[in-house]
Amino acid sequence: MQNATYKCNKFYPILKGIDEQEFLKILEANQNLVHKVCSLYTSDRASRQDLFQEICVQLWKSYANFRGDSKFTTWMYRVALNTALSLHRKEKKFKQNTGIDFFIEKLEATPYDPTEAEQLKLLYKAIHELSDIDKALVFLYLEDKNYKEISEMMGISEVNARVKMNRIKKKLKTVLNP
Amino acid sequence: MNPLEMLKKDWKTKNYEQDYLNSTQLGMLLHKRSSNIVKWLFIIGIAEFAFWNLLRFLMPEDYLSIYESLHIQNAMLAFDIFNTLVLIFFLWMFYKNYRAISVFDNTLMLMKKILKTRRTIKIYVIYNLSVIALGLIVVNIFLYFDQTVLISYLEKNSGKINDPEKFIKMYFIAELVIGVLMILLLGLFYRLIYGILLKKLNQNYRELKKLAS
Repeated sequence: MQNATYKCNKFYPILKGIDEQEFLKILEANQNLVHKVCSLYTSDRASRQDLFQEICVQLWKSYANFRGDSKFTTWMYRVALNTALSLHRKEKKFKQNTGIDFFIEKLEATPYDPTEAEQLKLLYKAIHELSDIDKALVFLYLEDKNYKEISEMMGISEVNARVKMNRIKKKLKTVLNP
Repeated sequence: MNPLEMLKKDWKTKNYEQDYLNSTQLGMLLHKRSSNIVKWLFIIGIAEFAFWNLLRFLMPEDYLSIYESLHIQNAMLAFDIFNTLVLIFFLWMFYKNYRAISVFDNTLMLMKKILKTRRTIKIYVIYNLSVIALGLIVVNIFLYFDQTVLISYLEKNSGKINDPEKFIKMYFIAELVIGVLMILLLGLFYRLIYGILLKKLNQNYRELKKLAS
């Protein structure tokens, strides 16, 4: 890994001669991932936009140090989760929306099956109530990351990641069969 | 189907197309002002360094004459130099820790580095509070054993004192109460600022640390 220090100057990538247009094109193509993280960690539109912006800024700031290293999306996962877990603080006070609606509004996309839809709703609701760290684990699991990747990304041991994930899985299953 | 497999399948189809921004809009986002914990930590840290050093300039000038009358001006000068060295040390540590924060680190490492930066400021504040407390005690001990200095200083500023003995007693009690109160208030103030700023981070850090061992 390169020595990627946090740059307080957001124009740092420009100073290093990195093309903003090129970055924006890649970001545009991969933005769904960022939206997914935001939906996981916020419960109203204003906070979601806020977090989305912060993640984009952090991606841009660290873009200079990413070049040539690992996959673009792997790097995006890291920066997006780190921003949500460590850097971002603000949750707007007034809630215009009842959180969970946002999270499950995409359900229409799935083939309509009342039991399946109902189960998904329950599962998403349970995920939304998890702690920040547990959410990150679930997110990486849903994105098909293996335990080695998860442990590297979060800085935890592989065994503990596995044990914790199994516990969360069990917890999610009991939501369906109380 | 296994409910978690079902969830995974659904998650993969999730897309937030209606929220998608085009590259022009994304470009505008990058240049808007962002507010994150690290930025705030930096601002508050610098504000604290400035505050504690402004405090020294705000002291009334003839305050030094008291040191002279008590014959401790040399000790005070030596202390001033020491204090400046301490300030430089802390500023350097603060800058070093701040620069080490990288959003590309793993999550636990990132949190550790943020909290380390915060700890530098915390120790600096504790240092300053202790210096004030210690200074208050030392000067008051000197004044206690050399009360004529105190009386003449106070009389010069606010006129004749009728009952010096009673006044001195009240003076020391007031000094003690105000000193303790000030330190408590400042301590509370810091707890509040950092408590609000770092509540979420501290919570996540504790949880993650448990998983690291």
